[in-house]
Amino acid sequence: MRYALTPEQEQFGQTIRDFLETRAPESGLLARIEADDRLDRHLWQDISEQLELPGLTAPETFGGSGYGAVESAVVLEELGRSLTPIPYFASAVLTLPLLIAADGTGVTHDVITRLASGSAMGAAAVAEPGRRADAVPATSAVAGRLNGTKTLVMDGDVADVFVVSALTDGQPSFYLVDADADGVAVERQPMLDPTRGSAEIQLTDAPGTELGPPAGAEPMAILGDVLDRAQIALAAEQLGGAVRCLEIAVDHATTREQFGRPIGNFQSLKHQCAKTLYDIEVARSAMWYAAWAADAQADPHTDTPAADLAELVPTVKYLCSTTYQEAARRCVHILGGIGFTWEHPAHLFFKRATSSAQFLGTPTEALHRLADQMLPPGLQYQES
Amino acid sequence: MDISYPADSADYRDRIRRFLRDHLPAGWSGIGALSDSQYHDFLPVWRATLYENELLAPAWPREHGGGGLSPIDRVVLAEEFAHAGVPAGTPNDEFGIDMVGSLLLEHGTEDQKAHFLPRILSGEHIWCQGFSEPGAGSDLAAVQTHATLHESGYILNGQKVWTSDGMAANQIFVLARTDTQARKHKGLTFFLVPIDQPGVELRPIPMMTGHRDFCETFFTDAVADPAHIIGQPGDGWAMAMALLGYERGETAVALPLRYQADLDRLIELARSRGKLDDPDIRRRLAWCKTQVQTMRWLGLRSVSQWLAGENDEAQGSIFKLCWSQYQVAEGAIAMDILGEEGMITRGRPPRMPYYCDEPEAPNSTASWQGSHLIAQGGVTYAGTTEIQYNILAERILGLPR
Repeated sequence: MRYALTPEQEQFGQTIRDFLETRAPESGLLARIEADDRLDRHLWQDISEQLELPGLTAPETFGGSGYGAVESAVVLEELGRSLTPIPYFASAVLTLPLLIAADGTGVTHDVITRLASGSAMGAAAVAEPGRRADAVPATSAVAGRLNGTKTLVMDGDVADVFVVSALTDGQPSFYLVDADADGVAVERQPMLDPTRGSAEIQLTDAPGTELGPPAGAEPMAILGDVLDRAQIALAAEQLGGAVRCLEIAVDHATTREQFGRPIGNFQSLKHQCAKTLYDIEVARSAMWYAAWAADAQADPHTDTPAADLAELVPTVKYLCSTTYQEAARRCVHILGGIGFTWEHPAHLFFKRATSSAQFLGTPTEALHRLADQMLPPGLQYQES
Repeated sequence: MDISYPADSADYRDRIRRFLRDHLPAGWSGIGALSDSQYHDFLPVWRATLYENELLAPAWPREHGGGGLSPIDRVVLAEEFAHAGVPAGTPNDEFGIDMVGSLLLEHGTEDQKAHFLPRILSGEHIWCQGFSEPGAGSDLAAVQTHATLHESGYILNGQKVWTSDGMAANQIFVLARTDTQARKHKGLTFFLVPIDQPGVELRPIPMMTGHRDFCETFFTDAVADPAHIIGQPGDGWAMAMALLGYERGETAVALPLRYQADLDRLIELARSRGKLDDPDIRRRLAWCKTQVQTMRWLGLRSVSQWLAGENDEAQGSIFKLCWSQYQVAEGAIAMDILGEEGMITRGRPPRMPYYCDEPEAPNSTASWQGSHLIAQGGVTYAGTTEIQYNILAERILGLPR
């Protein structure tokens, strides 16, 4: 039994951390955001060519590395720690797996290969105004022409291709749509979190390639599974951010002196930091278990019973979202006045924490989703 | 990352399940289902069964009458006992087998092992703990009970408090000061003291729950044998810290299973009171589930580290913070479910003032009132919440003391 990363996985994470600290240091983050130039395409190219990250979990038939959810979690934790504004989550975690799972006929083989190599970026256009990503869409497709509006398309402003959910003859289905095709209007959405892009997409008779699902696979179930796994990856990203927030807070509490001593000497600050440490260990335990279980479910050779992702995912989402939110809040608070400034990066973590907690449902909604799984609805009172 | 159990542990798990099937009464569903008189009849019989089957002290080496089990088998044993809702021994066995026994095995002389270990197993010696004092709780090193060496042995004078299960005990281990000139943590000595002597008197302290399990212990010229000191005079603090570190690895897997069973009872309580459609209750029960899952995962991480021979200093504090704070919140949810009914005491209160009520304990207002009260103690004993956060902040994060 090993409830920890292997030495190889730890080394992998360290390699990524070293790379990001050199090529995309935290100190340069605000400048990119202020210049409205968030995406460093040279960085993305080097991450693709030197670290081969975009295809990390894609099957080797597409030029990917065939790794699983645990390795993905290692990458996401480092990206969450660094807040590097690249579309890794959107392209490699949301879009690429969705495309692979939804295309049963291989019609998008070349696009998948390009996404896996990093030579193209993808975005998932599934949510609509008033409809969550996992809801049946209203966007319609007739004879390969799509009409509708998509919102919260993560990093949709830099994507080359979209995977779009739409109704075909009233049935949910997926389409591959080129970003520069006619009838595709991409408008950047101004976001609370400036480290990630988002777009609203208007589709007006836009041409798309329909993806016929694999035999026996139902499109909304495919999407649900991809989103569940994305939640686990997001949890890893949240954890990385929380860890960095704690580091910043402890560094400050150790060096900042008031009343003749480091402020970390005061018990109230000790306890705020200790609570964040506690929350991080809880969140890490949950996220690692879910990542391992997600892979174990896919492996028929172990006799580990299939993990109940329906309960695990909302649990992990709740624990990791609240951990990051609280870590970021305490970090800003412990920094005092400086924590409230634009110049200190703490607000970027706070904004990422707030936004990612809202993604695909709030932590409270996650608890309700968990309640629906564990408590049969509508039980009547019985005299005991 | 592989959080599954080793394949060969499945054989041992099957053996233990067979053992439980063969030795538990027909129709057994959990110890909480026993009435008080059935419970008092069952415990000594069960202890004797464990003793005969070398399952009473699973961690002790076989040469001393223990099970000599590997760490993973100890974990599997603890899990199966928790699933079956059976105890691993009597309440005093935690002090005798786990604490004194483990300390003797690591630091005792051969004569001490030969004298004490068989008596712990047979039940001839029944142990309790003499650490805390009225003036030394969180600050344990401030103990004032002192021992001076005379011809007849060490003479102890002082007072201990919160002596758990003291009235059932006939032996007490005592942290006492033998050198009043030395600095606080030095000059302490770890004594093994018989209770059955004129100079030792225990009186129960009634707790807010009505339990009378905790005692105050008075030493008035009590006598301790110099041969029954563990370690050397002056080693007392190191011995006490070693002993407190023998927290059963098994607790890490067994306790989450108890709290899972308790959550099932809480859900049934909500269902039976027509509260399962209340969105706020549903949300809070889901929160409970996240916490019980967390306990399980924290426990498994502890086991994983233990099996790898690693020692993560933070895990003990984190685990304690988790279950103790959870039980406080759980008690409040139960009272919200019960509403005015929760003002009336009906049914059987928890038999022990620790942790949640027993598996299969009948749902009653007395059970949940009791658990709610007991939860207030859980955040205090075995290191208060504030002490645990101080430990995390100072020892792990390095914030200045």
